[in-house]
Amino acid sequence: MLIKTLVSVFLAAILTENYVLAKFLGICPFLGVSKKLDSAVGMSVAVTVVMVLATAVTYPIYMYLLVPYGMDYLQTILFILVIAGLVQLVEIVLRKYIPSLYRSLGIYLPLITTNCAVLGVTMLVLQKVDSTTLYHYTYLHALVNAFGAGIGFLVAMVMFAGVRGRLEKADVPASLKGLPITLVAASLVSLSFLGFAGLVDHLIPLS
Amino acid sequence: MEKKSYLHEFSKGIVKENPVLCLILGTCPTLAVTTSAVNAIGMGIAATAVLVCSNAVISALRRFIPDKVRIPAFITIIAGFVTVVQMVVRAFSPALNDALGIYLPLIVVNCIILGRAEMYASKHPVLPSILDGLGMGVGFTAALLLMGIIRELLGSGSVFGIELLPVKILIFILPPGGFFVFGMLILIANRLNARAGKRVKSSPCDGCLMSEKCSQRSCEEVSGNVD
Amino acid sequence: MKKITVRDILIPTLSLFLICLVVTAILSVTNALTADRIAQNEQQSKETSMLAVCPDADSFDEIIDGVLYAATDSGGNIIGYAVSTAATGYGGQVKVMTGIDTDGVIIGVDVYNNDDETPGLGQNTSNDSFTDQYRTLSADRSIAVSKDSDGGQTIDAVTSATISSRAVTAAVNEACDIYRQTIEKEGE
Repeated sequence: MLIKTLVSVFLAAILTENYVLAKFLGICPFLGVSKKLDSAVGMSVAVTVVMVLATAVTYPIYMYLLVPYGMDYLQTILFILVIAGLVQLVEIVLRKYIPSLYRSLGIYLPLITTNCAVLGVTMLVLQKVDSTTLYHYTYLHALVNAFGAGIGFLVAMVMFAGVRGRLEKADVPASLKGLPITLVAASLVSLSFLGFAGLVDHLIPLS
Repeated sequence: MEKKSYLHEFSKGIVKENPVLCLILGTCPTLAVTTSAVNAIGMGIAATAVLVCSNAVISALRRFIPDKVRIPAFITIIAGFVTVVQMVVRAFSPALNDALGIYLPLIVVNCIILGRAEMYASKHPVLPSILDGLGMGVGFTAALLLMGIIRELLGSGSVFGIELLPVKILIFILPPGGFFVFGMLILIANRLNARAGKRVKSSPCDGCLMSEKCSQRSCEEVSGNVD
Repeated sequence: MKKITVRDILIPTLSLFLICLVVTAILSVTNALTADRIAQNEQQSKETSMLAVCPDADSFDEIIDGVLYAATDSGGNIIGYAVSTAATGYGGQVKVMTGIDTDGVIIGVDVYNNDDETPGLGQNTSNDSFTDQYRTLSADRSIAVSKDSDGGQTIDAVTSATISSRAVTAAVNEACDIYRQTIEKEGE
């Protein structure tokens, strides 16, 4: 049962609740870094790592420190500082110990501090409710959700990089070139994700 | 400073350097909350309030904040004002708080605010910084309102809740419609800019605060390749 | 490379610490000023919703904190119950108030927060044309969306918003469960 719910949380985060295409979080990197496949993948992997790490840190802080002491109004400021600190830390650690990984992922890290998808995931995961127990997500659920959100970001980025690769070769009217045609393409990609509504519920019936 | 230049600080953000349509900043709220004109105005006013206050404080403290920790300091100040605005909205307009949801605290990561702090307020005196914030905020609100009116009119057949059209093209208030309307607006803005003989910004990275840091590869490749 | 002195580390640390301190102080003051009003607003929105599902009630007494309320008339007699529940819809939480009379019949359903659902689709679940379907159904048996079931108590989902409709139905069923477990058990 637990595995079933975790899989459904994971799939829902990727498909139906896709943060980029359904909730409009992380649009800047989605439009900016999706030009080439390798940079799209690099950015997404960095985002996924930071999302999971940030959730791992902010969830206990919120549940066991802020809520019991009635300080949940400090959520925004605390979370953004945790994310900013975490990004710096990951950067330093990568540079020092895994320079090869740093060279491929490092350049995306400074961009992530102001990526609203990361802050959005850490905040939204606290509001979510497990549909079988009607309680707040447990720590495990929250981590799986954050990981799913990151993979969902990856899926959207890779798909979109593919679409943009095709656009490169297409003969686009002069005034549509650049951002306008990119946004129209994004519109069509997000349209395709609308079709996933209800998919997860049918794939993994919980009751 | 002359009066004229004060006016310029204010007005540049509304048309010439409109943060949304010309600098392509703050795209997430632009797409997310513009399903109705009322939400668009609410978001615009909340962001403007944060922008003006944070610009004023950052400009006043610009000589005291050490350069090394300037970004975390800016983020702290902005997050503080965002939380204040959030509490005020929850206290005096709970309906707006429900409608904006997660996007209200997410004003923290709106690139417009950190971008103005870094590019303008940390280098200019208080009064021009306030005017700059006000102008950018009004420009942001105007762009959001335009999006909100178009999407609400086409998607729900109404504007500000007043029924105007008998047909409803639902897709316009769904996410795909958001991307599409935004694309069309930028198309128009680009054409107007091109007619005025200005360089057209075609990447969100151009106005991005971090573009300097990441220009080594990812952003350069984007802005370099786009015509 | 320049040698890093204690001063180089101390000054940025101290100034950042100072900024955090001042900002947090300002926040706690604002919180103290607005907290009462926010709580009042939440209470009020709940009360408006309770009144919508039990229009004849004069006042409401809390039975389970924040969940179950007894609706009483001006003479102090219990005329029904209002139950506040939530379920996960398409975009987030859907909060529902269910009114049940003393005979265990649903007398009203009010969706008082569905702002995370899609405007024009899922948000239509708060329309009367949808919520009125729950009226006169029994709280003793579970309710299903007609698409999912071929018998028993059913309601028709809002067009193209099955997930949001299911969420509202799940919340109503949950409310009925709470009602059965606390009120009907007491009566036995």
